[in-house]
Amino acid sequence: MEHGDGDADAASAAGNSGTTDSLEERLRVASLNAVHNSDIQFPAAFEYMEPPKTNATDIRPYLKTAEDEDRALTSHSSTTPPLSKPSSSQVPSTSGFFEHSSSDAEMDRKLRQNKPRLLLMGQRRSGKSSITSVVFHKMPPQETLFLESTTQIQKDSMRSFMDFQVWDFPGQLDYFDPTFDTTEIFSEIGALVWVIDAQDDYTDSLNRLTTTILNLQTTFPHINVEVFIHKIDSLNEEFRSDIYQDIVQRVGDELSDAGYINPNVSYHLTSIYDYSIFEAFSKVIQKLIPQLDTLENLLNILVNSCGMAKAYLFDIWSKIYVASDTRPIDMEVYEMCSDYIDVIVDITDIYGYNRNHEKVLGEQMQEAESSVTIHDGTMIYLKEMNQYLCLVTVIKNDEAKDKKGLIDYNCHIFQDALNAVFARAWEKDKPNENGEQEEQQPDKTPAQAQAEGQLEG
Amino acid sequence: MDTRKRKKKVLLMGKSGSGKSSMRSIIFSNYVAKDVRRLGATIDVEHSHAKFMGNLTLNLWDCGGQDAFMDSYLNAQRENVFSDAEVLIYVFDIESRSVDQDLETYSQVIKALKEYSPTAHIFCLIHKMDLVQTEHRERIYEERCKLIAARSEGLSLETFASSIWDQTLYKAWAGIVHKMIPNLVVIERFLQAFAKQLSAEEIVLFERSTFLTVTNVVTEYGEDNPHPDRHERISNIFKTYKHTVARNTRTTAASAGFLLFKVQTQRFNCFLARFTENTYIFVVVPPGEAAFNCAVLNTLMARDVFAKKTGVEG
Ligand SMILES: Nc1nc2c(ncn2[C@@H]2O[C@H](COP(=O)(O)OP(=O)(O)OP(=O)(O)O)[C@@H](O)[C@H]2O)c(=O)[nH]1
Ligand SMILES: Nc1nc2c(ncn2[C@@H]2O[C@H](COP(=O)(O)OP(=O)(O)OP(=O)(O)O)[C@@H](O)[C@H]2O)c(=O)[nH]1
Ligand SMILES: [Mg+2]
Ligand SMILES: [Mg+2]
Repeated sequence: MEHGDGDADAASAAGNSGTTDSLEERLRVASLNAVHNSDIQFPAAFEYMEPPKTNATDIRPYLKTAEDEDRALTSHSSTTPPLSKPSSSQVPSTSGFFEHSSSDAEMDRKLRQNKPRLLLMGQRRSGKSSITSVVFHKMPPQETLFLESTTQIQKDSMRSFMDFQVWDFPGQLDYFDPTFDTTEIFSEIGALVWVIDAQDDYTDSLNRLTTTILNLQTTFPHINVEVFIHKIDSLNEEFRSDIYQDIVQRVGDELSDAGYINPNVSYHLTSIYDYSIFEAFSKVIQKLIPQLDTLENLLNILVNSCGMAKAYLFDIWSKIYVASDTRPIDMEVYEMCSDYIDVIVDITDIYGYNRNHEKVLGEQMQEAESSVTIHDGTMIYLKEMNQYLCLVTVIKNDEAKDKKGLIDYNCHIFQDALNAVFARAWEKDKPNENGEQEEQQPDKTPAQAQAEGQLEG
Repeated sequence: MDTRKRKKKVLLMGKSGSGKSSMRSIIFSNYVAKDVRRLGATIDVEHSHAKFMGNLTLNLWDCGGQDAFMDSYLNAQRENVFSDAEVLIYVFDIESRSVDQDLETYSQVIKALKEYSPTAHIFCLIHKMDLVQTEHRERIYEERCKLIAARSEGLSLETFASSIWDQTLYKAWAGIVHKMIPNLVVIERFLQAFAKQLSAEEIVLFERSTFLTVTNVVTEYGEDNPHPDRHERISNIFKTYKHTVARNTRTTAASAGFLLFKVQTQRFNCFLARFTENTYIFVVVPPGEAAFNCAVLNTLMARDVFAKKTGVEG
């Protein structure tokens, strides 16, 4: 539903009986509730209270910072809205929390064209299949005990905000066997994930790893090599860091002895029994997103203008995070944010069924939204961005928490920008579809620049 | 109200290793399932108190199940153990190789209970069901129930299949405490009226620290929910998240909690809020932003009315 210029007044005059779910309508409702809140007399009995239909404070459309909102709330000025909602089709929502519908087929199609490949390699029983099962198939970690040794390359296709393939290799395979078409395997590559069982003797694994890196180096020098130092769950802190140091050192030495000086190798400590495997995969995937810088920028602006402590953009289904604001990562909020997605997914699974009755009590935004305030006052706020992605943020500042209208508004602008960013990139990638990976970052498109401008102010 | 009556003696019995202390620790002491392996066998009887909704206190007797202790409960300590019991929770280990002997012991316990507390309720938990393959669970459970019923001397009996590894644990224990809550009828009548006021689909009351379902009401709008196990699932979801929160805010799970939780989607809205001192209220309403915000506010305001009308102050 879009509003033309000058419709803001009309929307507020229409009261809550209007048919729009537009932003300004939502903001109006939010402000009503704020007013409502302060007027409460705590009656002895409870009654359903219709929101008053008076023309309460008009929300100024250009909300950028907390101060701006304060000004807006006192000034009563009304201006025309700067942007309309993203093309919200009349079709029922494309919600990431319900079954995936395909209302935005065109966008979807473009997404599919970018298909990096993640190759999981390493010794037998190092944990490759367990990792793919836990991260991409939601298998409970303890059930991996029953996984059988892999005998053929297992290829999975992941459809999400971007498409990627995950190839799980059998451990005993010689990856450079001449009968193997290495160019076929490595051509479209995104990253090579090398899994090492940290609870076992890893000498052989390291030898194979360095051989592999050196073999690839001549033909595919731009491969990201991601070493997962895996099964760290039963190792204590000290032992973990010793092993980490040791592996980094030995691989580095081997490679430099062979004359390979600046190898493109990263290391991660992982376990399927906690969030570390999701964290590591997030980092791996982030490197494959050409728009990462832009996303991070947008998130930085968002957290600054809303007074958030941290913001993550998560892939709802895999719980991999696509980007976060770039302040130093506070692991303590990461787990609360990623587990919060489970809470919402589970609750929507229970109550998101198709009702026989079509009872509704009024208008509401299309996107799912949730928040929890925990005992120490910290608020976790989640908002669905599109069918794949959701924003999860942590808000500690008391004043920021109260500014629901501001948060809503800025999240909306972020959402628009996000969709614009991906849409543009997909278009850009198109000519490259069959060609080699483009090297430089795509330039900022006008849409991105505009979105940043709006948030930034 | 008579304070003595509010304290209800609950006997927790069954063979050693059947999982009694594990369940008690998870439900009442905020253990997580994988921590219970560290529990040692219980020596004699371990007493603990579990406060429930302020005016109900469970006086839990966790009776170590090793043969020597069993023998002593049935003989030397017979009167002390079995008198004044409100509830007996008897736990059967589904993995046990000596079913007949287990039933024989059970039978002796029932006789003692009938002698000293003839009005007590019995709850039998067929436990560790996770160790049985899913397709056989139902059948094995039904068979066990029959054997147990035959030995229960006609006392009031309810059975549950349970496992610490899924929500069945919450279902069983919610069933148990539900039986003991005073003035439940008044509470339910209140919630029914309130649900109607809010046009809610359903309202569930959870106990604050255990997250067990105290009671729930469903209206016509919520009656086609296809998930009959949803309440225990919600207990499980929130208790799990509470552990995450505790871990990450460096507090104990006992002091971690939620002030307000809200979800708004296209198909439903719901929220969880602190209600009375010892309960959370969970309300599901049809979509509609303004009505939702009103429902939240109204719920917060309804607290006092609730306390006054139901006598549940704590
Ligand atoms: N403790 C611990 N065990 C793990 C972890 N990840 C995997 N495992 C166990 O490692 C064993 C082997 O796992 P797989 O995933 O089958 O190993 P793989 O690398 O696929 O083996 P191949 O298919 O033979 O190459 C299983 O018993 C898993 O339960 C982990 O993070 N911690
Ligand atoms: N697989 C499975 N194991 C369980 C379950 N519940 C408890 N256990 C295990 O059973 C073992 C014994 O549990 P306890 O709770 O100490 O047994 P108890 O009944 O208190 O034993 P006594 O104190 O000697 O009478 C523990 O190692 C638990 O890990 C369950 O639901 N499934
Ligand atoms: Mg495998
Ligand atoms: Mg015990």
